[in-house]
Amino acid sequence: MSFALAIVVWVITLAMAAPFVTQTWWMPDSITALGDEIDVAFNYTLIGTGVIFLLAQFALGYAVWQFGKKRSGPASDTHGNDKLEILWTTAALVIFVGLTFFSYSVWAETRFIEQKSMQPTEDRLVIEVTGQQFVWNMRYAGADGVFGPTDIDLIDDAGGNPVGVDRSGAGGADDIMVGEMRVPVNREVEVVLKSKDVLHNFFVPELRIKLDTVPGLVGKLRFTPNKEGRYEIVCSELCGLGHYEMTAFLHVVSEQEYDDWIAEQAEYLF
Amino acid sequence: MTEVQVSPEVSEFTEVHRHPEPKSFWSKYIFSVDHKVIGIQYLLLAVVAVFVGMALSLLVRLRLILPDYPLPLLGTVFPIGAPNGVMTPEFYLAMLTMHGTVMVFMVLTTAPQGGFGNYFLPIQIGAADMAFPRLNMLSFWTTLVSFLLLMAAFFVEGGAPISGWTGYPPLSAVPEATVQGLGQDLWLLSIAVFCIASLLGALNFIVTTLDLRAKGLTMMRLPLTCWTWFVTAILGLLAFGVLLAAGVLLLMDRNAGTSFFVPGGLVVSDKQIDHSGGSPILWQHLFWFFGHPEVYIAILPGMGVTSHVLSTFARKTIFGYKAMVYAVLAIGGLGFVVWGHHMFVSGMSPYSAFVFSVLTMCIGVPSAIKTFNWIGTMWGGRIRFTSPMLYSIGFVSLFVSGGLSGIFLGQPTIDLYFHDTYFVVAHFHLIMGVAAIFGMFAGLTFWFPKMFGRFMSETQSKIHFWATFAGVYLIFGPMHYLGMLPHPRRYAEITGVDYLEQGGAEGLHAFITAAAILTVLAQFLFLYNFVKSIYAGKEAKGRNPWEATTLEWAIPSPPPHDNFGGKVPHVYRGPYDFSLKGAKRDFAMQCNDDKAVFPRPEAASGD
Amino acid sequence: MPAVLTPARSVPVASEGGAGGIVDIPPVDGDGGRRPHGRDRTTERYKLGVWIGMGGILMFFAALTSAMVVRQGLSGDWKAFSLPPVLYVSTLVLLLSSVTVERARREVEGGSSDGLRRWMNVTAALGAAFVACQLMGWQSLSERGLFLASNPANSFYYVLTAGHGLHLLGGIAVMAYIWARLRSSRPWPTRGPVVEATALYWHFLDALWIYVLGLLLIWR
Repeated sequence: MSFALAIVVWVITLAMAAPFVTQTWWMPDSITALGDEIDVAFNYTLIGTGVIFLLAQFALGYAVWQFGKKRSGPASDTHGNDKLEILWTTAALVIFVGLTFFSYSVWAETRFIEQKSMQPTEDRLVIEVTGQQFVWNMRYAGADGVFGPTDIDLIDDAGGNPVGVDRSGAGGADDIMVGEMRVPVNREVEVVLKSKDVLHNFFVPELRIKLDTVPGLVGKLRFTPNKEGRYEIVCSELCGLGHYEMTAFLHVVSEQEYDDWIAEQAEYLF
Repeated sequence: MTEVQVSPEVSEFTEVHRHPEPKSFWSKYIFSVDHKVIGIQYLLLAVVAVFVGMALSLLVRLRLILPDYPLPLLGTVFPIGAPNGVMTPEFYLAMLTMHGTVMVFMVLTTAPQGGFGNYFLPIQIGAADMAFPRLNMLSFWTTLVSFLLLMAAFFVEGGAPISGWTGYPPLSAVPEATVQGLGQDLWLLSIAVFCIASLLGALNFIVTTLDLRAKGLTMMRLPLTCWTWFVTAILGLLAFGVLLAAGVLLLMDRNAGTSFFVPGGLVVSDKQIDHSGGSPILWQHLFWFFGHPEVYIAILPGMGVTSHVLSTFARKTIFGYKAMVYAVLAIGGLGFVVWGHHMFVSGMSPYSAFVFSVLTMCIGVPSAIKTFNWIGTMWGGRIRFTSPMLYSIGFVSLFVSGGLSGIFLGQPTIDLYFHDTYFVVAHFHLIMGVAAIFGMFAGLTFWFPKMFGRFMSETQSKIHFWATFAGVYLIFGPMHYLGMLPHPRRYAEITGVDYLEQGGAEGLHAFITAAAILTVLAQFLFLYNFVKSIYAGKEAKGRNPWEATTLEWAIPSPPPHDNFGGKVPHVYRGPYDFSLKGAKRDFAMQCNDDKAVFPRPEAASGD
Repeated sequence: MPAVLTPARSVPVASEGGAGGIVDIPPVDGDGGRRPHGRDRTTERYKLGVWIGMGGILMFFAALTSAMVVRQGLSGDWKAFSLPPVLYVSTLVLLLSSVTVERARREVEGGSSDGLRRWMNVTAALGAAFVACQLMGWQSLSERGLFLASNPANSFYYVLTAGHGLHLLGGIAVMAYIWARLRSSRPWPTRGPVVEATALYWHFLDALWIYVLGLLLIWR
């Protein structure tokens, strides 16, 4: 019994860990410098916890095996070991809290975007993304670079005005509404996140970041994609019965392609 | 069998407290004020609930691999949710929501605390009953009302709620957003009633532990089970009031037109919603202020049972008793200051996120202490592989596996990727779901001979252990890989996302569902074993068949009406005096002061 | 067989196995030994129950308080309003009832059952008067057009006063129970403990009301 249980614990441990080593089911490649840094933080955590995982499970199996065997004499009469206790308490504290501090700089870069050192670039592309059950609405400011005002009374899904853009307001005439996100490669993008109804969550796995869209609040994410391609935006906060199909695409394209596309979209307006 | 004197004044106070043995069927088994009967009532409620919750999870699993397959019977029971037996996406979400709610509230909160705690806390501390027996009865019946309210949600127009067990507004607050009727209201009402029941229960547990301990039973001689029940009760006392407040406010948002959680300017399907200024984030703060301690409410009693059982069957005193007690206190205390880690992606201030992260990581420290001490307890022991011992070893393994994935999720940087994916699902199922349930399996098989005077079948329990231990790893292990893809949780199907189909999610889902079916089958074996053993199990000879040390093993099985015959036992030593050096027997009961047998009676008192 | 407990009753309690004999030594460090016994002990337990219960109730109100503070800070739709003056009357009534319940409590020790019943009744009546005043407060608010859903400031006013009022009604219910028990001829061994605990709870409700009133005044 003792050896069988030890073997089962060890086999399960190895089987659980193996796909993390072979990376059979894995994250898609990151497409931002920030994503690469997050991956580094992830890898350190994976190694740290992986080692602890293997050691702890192997120690468990070993104890079960060794002290489950038939042995003569009674069990040892020990009640603890303060030195050991202090040792592993300190070790756990250093490893666990250390990991957080290690990944802190990446966290700062991701989320402290209002801070001075994290000021956005001048020519960043701002896109307003509004979640609603169960679609993503992207708004580009158009040629003038200014988002027009919105009015809740103008909202009309069927009429093609899902966020209620006031076309007569300043800067509103050339706002572009689309259901996909197209951005030029290597240019900073600022996504302004809003919601019309319930919570949603803007998540692109390749960007490694996600943020809730909260009705009544405005969220901001910034990223600079460095690889062209088509990536999926998936909703990651339960938003109702169509939650599973609330997806859209992020196309990262060349500068030229982007310019052509935006010009084409502008034509539809008139 | 010989006797000991009990000082007269001690018996006097128990006389005041005692209630006469009930004679009629109703007062004995139904409206009983006996903590043992109430404990069994809680356990039976949890057994019903766990099978309901398990059935729901099976439906969820089936929907994921066979979205269009008509299931027989289902269409008859739920003609709207599953027309012709084909589950709609909203039906999937309803099952998911109810699965989570039933399991968290009606199983993980009731069985370890209301069930085992009720039954064994008074006995382990040498008391005749809980401090307030009638309040105890009220707690149970209130809990039952809450359960019935929750079940009623299935059968009202619109069906069960679909907003998840976390019930985030506005989805849960704005009826227009979910196409439903009374389900969410019943859900909220059920939760509110449950909060009241839990508060009453928590109060009773705390007073019982503080006030009814036997002579000589200092806090540092309490069995670790009692410590965890005590700390769990404190967590419940401080957490459920907050959830109650939040639930009342959300009910009013839904029904009275207030705007606590619903912001203005909402437009659902081109219809403007008449609310203004509320904050969905406020709900998340209140909910998780309760929700995180709730996780420990579920797992702490399991830790206590595991410590208790490991020590008993390793025939060795618990390694680092004091450290274990402080670890439980630390986990309980830290549990109240980490709720923000559930909200890293809600748009909260990055500064607070960082603070929450550091505090969260600190919980890893007492958790590590516990794990090391469990292994240390077995180290040098003489392990007896009884079924409760197997479940407890399983608990340690599951606790390690489930706990370590928390190190990823506790760092906001990495949580950005994993939040709301199957990685989280795997994490919390392993640690608060399965590990806690292994604690219950250990508790039930361990205490069964005391409760019913018979053993559960060891063979069947062991088969069940192997199947379940392997089964849960086969279910929740692969969910980590789904999380890597990353597979968002609460998706009714994978057809909406290209990378899931390309990434192999379908195969993993099929594998998980197959493992789930096998694991569920094994649970019926356990149920059969449980029910049959009550009247046909092998008789437990003597009072102390496991050769354990705590007070419940000093009285007959099943215990008489007032546990100790109207007297109060004396306690002379710590709870885990096994294999004392030079002793003639390898265990010393807490109430034994025989210096001839145990030369060192004070050895492990922990003082 | 060694044993542990006395034989005074028919259910002996014993540990299994081993040698032993009659053991009768004083407790090593028992809590039981330090505390009073009998009725005093029960009183202590009942009061401890009330103290612990206060923890739960306070968390409920703490949650409402934090919700109120957050809700007010978050959005511009908060409209402060003046509290109905009748609240000061109700405050006085409740403070007075704390005095009368204390008077009733003193009747337990050596006092008469009549005195106890009288002062408990006065307290319950004052409690009812307090609830009536609170209802008048609601009425005066609704006459000004300030309903539950009119404004978050009003919502919190109604929720906090209702939350406190329900707890107070619970106290009155216990007083009704005391009244009924005092009328009946059945013996009532826990009379003292129940009265003591009720008095403590009532004082708590008093303090809680002062807190709620202060919150409503300061955080408008």
